[in-house]
Amino acid sequence: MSEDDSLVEEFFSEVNDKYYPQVLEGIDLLDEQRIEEGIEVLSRPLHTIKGVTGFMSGFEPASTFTHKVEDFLKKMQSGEVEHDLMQIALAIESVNTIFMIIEQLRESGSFDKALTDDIESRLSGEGQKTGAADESGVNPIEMEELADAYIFNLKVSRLYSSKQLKMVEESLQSINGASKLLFDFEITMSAGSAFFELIASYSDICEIGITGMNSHCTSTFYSWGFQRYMTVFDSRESFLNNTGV
Amino acid sequence: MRALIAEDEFVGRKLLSTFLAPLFVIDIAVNGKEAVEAYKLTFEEGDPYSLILMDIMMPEQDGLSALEEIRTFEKEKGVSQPCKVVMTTALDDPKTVIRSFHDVEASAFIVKPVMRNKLYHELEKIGLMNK
Repeated sequence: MSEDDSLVEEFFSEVNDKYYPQVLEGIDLLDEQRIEEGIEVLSRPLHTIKGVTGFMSGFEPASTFTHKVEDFLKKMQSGEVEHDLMQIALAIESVNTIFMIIEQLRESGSFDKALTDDIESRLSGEGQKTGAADESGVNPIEMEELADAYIFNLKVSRLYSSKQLKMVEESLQSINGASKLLFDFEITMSAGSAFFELIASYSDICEIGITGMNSHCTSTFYSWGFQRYMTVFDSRESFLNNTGV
Repeated sequence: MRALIAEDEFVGRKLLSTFLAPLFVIDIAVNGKEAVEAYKLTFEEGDPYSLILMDIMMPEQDGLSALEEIRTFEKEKGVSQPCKVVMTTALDDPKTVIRSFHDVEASAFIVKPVMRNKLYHELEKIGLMNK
């Protein structure tokens, strides 16, 4: 094993055992809008990831991206970036993306550059300059009633705000006697753990399915262990035919 | 800006001084213990170092434990902008690299021999030099 290989192996072992749990704790705090505490918890694992990936051959893009995320978090910490829900969602999405990139680089030697470019432009404030939509007050869900199931189509790109969650809760309260619910993520790029918690609270009375999640949503879903309460399906047809994955 | 070179080998000190001389006012320490003392002294003077180049394997006190002491001192004093520290070392085993970043928050890590371009590149990355 070369020096480089042993560094990569040691690094990923540290990521899994040490940094990822720290980062989940930090994200959890951001999710609860405890910004300063969350950034404090995130700072050391992210600094380490930035430094070590910069030293690992082939992982430099992860270092550069992590550097930009760190800068954004420092601006949040200093108050230069507002602590609104859109920015918190962007911070969480960015941190999750760091882990996605290092996994992609490890597995294939390449990474999703279009995704990092998009996030980097939003981190630098481009999204605000181009008037990215504030969806915090938009009803995030559209309900379809079938014979023996309800399909909830998610209609916003980011689902975090308390207003949105209230609207989801009202939709869930309006269902009568349905035994099966499917949440189709469609265009939703990221959703907070509070959303999953809300729908998981219905798992006692309904069978709940999820479909169409992208990697960010999948990461949040599994890292919080929501697979214990609901099943992931590869399509709405497989949900209706009850062939989960 | 002030910089400290903590390096026990004469030739290494000479070389690093040549690289940094156009950019910083330089002080020299020959072991970790001196580096910690020098850092504390400049802090008390109100003009702390912007950069420390820290060798790891040094007599009296190694570079990692010296930096650990400096970080503890910074926390005690409530320093908002911790000193940028570049580890310059012949050691590149994974545990040392990871420990440098995680445990003592090094800013960069350069494996010897330190070349001018490599050093300047790292200084650019940590914001102490413009391209």
